[in-house]
Amino acid sequence: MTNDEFSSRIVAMMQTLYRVAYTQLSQSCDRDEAVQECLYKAWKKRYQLKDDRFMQTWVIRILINECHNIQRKRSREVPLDELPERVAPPGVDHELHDALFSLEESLRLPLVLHYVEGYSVGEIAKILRCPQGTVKSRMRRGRQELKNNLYGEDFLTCEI
Amino acid sequence: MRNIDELGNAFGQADPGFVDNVYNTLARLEKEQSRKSTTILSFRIAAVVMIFCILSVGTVLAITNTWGILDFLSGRRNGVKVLPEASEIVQKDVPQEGTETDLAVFRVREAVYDGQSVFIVLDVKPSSPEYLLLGPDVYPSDYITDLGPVFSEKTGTIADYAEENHKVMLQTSVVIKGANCSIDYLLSEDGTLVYMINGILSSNSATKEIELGCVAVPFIFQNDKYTRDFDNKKETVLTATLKNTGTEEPVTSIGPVVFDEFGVRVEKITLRSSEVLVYAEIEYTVIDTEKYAKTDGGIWFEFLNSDGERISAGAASGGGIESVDEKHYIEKLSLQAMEKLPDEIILRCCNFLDENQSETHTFKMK
Repeated sequence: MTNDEFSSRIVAMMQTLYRVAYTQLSQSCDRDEAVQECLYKAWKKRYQLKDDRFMQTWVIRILINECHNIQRKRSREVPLDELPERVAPPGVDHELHDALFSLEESLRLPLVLHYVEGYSVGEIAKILRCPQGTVKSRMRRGRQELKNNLYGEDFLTCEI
Repeated sequence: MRNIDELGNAFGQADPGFVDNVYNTLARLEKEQSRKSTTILSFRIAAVVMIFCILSVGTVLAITNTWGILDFLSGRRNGVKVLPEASEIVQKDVPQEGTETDLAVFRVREAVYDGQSVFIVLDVKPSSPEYLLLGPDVYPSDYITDLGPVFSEKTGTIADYAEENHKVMLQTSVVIKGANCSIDYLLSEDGTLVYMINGILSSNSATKEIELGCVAVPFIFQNDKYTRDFDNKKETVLTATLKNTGTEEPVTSIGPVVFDEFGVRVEKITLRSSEVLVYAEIEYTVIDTEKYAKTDGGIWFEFLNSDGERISAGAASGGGIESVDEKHYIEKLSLQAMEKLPDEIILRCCNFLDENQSETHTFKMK
């Protein structure tokens, strides 16, 4: 992969990178740090990627790792429940935002990767390095909890 | 009633700080690499590397601002070939709306759409001669020579050049809404920035309306550095209607073939041809979960010609592996355009994690 291809593909992934980082990190400074580290690592190792077609899932995998590193670092510095709450940015569906971000991350991330980013269960399993059955059950639980957080029953009609 | 497909509404757009951070990091990585390089020609900005490749094969075209889709395809990557008939499906009179902003006019000059991939050449013309248009990954602190051969005799940075020539620098960006797209661009002598955009958009209808998000943001000097002035950002959604020229009748493989080493069976290969490229789909089933698990799901396929050489990738971006269920997958990829789809094709299965592991079989096609 040439340098220009790398940069173009990262720029094309801008919103995805943002949403994946936002899903895991509430603070914008942390998201910036995570994406910066992610890009450094991806750039350094780009020649190890044997097939460019997997670049997008590969970069997301690296970003998720970096977000986890920052979460670990923050948990050593400040108790997680003392971190400021995430404030919904302007223009978003506040109700949906708050319902989604009240889910555990392990349930939230597969939902975002599937319903927002369009990845299949198989691809998510590879990204999260867990069995497809686990992804499916997390998505099922995530949908159920999201439904409860919003209006109780009779919601979120789309099945996997 | 809400639908879970609305989940994206829980997110806003990436904030300016995040976007800046990504662009700055990419620019820094490019620069760090360039400092290590001993090459005299230091075309360091990603897209400008592409510009150099293109201009090295067609400077005259660049200067006269007639770069079209086929020029980009032939100049963009080594070895990408299209059929001579491709010129007949290039649409040059594309109906479009929403082309203007206060800072620049965005206009689709050429388009190719075959029902699966879209290729667009779009001109961005500055509204004022004092505007200097930059691509989405170019910054004022970059060298002016990075803008290409038109500036090869100049020295200093883009910001220096802009100051000396009383130019206002504008960063621009163009994306196809709803599609991941790849972008190349070049700056021509008359100040027009020419974008080449490619994305995947499936449709069976005779025409397809697409939306292009077009943005222009001026740079301002603030706190001893140039930053993008998002308060004065101008954007438009350009709507263009493209003719779907379609693909030829597909050919499919005869009978399934087992790739024993990987524990998968290829059920069917489908090849569809257009004047620009060949679309390939490989449908496969995991039949031995133990062998398949050893690859950690990291298998991929490539096609070989009768000499055993890998058939080069086609012009389309995107593709990848879709999961139908836990055992059934479809890999989609693009190959170089072919005059005639083959009666026989060789397929090699490879392990993403171990380059020494592969298995090859020949398929009859009908």
